[in-house]
Amino acid sequence: MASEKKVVFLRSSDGEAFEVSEEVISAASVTIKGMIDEESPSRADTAATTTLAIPNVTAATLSRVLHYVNKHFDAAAVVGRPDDYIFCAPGDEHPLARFDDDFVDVDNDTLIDLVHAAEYLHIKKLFDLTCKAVADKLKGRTIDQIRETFGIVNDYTVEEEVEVYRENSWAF
Amino acid sequence: METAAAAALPDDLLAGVLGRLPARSLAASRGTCKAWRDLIDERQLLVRFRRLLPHTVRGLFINYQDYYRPHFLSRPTPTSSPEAAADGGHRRIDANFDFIEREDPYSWYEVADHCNGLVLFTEGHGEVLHVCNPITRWSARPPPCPAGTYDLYYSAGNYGRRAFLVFDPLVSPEYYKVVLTPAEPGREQMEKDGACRRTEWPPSAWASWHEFSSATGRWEEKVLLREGEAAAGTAGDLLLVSLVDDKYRVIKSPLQLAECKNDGVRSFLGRSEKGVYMAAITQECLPILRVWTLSESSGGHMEWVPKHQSNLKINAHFWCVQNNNFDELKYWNLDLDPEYSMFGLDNGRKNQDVSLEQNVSWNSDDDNIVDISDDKHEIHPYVNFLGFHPYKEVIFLSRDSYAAVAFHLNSPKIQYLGTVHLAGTYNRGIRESFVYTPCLIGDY
Repeated sequence: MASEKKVVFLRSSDGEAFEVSEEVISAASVTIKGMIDEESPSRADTAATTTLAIPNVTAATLSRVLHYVNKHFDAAAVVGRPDDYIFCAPGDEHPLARFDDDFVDVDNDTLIDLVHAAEYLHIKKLFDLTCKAVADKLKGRTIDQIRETFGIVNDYTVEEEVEVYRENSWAF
Repeated sequence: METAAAAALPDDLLAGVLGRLPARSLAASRGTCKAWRDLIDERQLLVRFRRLLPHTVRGLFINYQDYYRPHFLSRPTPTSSPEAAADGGHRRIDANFDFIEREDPYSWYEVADHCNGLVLFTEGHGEVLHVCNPITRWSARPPPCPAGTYDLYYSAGNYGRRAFLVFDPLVSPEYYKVVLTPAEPGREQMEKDGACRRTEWPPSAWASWHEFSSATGRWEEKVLLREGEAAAGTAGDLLLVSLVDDKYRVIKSPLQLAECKNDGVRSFLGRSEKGVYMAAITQECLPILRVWTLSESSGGHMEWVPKHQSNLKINAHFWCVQNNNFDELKYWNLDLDPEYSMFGLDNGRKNQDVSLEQNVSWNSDDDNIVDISDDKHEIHPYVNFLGFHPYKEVIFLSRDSYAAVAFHLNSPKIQYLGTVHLAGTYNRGIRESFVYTPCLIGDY
């Protein structure tokens, strides 16, 4: 019986490999759990570690994702915390809230890469967090500010713009 | 430099982002480009906000002549539904505005304007202004205009200044503006001033406009510069005022000057389904209603396009209709004081706290349809214009200050709303009214 924790290696699109606990990444990522389950019959009795290719995610992004995953999904890191957020009373601050805030306090491109990665790896909590963070960048902005922030080209004709404005104006 | 990464997000991811936005940001996002608009529409992302948005007419604020306070005409409010409690959307509106701390609790007060859910409320003769949201019960009091006390009424041969509220959460959710027009010269004043003013009125640089912005907390005087021609001698010309660049344009009225002599015609401006509308009621032997919509040609030329014309000699049965002709749950009520009912002056209202299953916002097109088949007993009522429905081609009218109705411009259909008559008090009827659309989105 191997008492040591099994690890897997994830290889980013640009070829860098990252080590992560199999248990942790399986709990976090539906996509990787699926890959591991597919691999497992062939490696059940071997001691060889598995390397999984993650072709859609760069090293920079993958290392951020794993940082998040280890914080949020590593039971060892959470055990012994009396204030584990699952048991928090409503209204208490999530113990990882500060970590999350810092985590998404990055430039737009990095954030968008994280949204892509979270979606591809199917890590729901991370997807929610990053989408929310992008949404926060849009919140309270005017149309022009949103275009500017996200480099959107206005492809409306003047008539269409008036029409859209009119449609929206019922809302406000 | 930011890149176009977000614009290039696949639909699922973009929907994940946009679906987490509050309504007004979502609406703003919808205006950025076609791809975002199509996605928002396709995934119906705005739908969840519908009930919070002021897309429905909740009622009418009505100012009476010779009477100290406005009243609010609305459908009875259900009090029990949990949904109502959750979003506040069905919160009772009281035109008494008791949440506003008034400077003088004994002064008369009224609603001076309404814009996208915010109400401009004035005390006395307009010296004290309040801006409030009747749903959230938020209120603020802009400082007095430094140009002196403004009288909102006709005095000393001049028409009073008029106060307007400007609030568009889509453009600037955090700010509102109050605009005071210059005093308009009345007829006597015009004649005294002589021809120079009549040949070019309004002036090409028009001073004495004042604007309060909640962003700065200050009043500013504005001088508006005219683009294009001066008024061409017709009455009821519309001023198109741009607050952004302090310019204005004169749009020729569809009414002829001769018609307007001796107050033979009354005209009203408003916003409805397809933009800006103008209605005119000619009150001769028969009341005639005409409605135009404002259309802008590609060259930027604006003109009024006739939309509707009908005479209002609708049968006597209709104009004399009473609450008790209809199911009591379906007519609108005034927010009368409790003592009103004690003296039996409750206009036939039977039960305040009726529980309604249906939407209170009177979206239904089918309630209380009045039979308008020809009738021998024609009467020629004095017709009041109450307002335009902001999202449908419907206008609100009343006969004197009795029956209020919704008049459909596109079909021969009239719906009875309720009575606006204040029984048992002296008043000469309705002075003006404002169609109220509640807003729960935004900072107020």
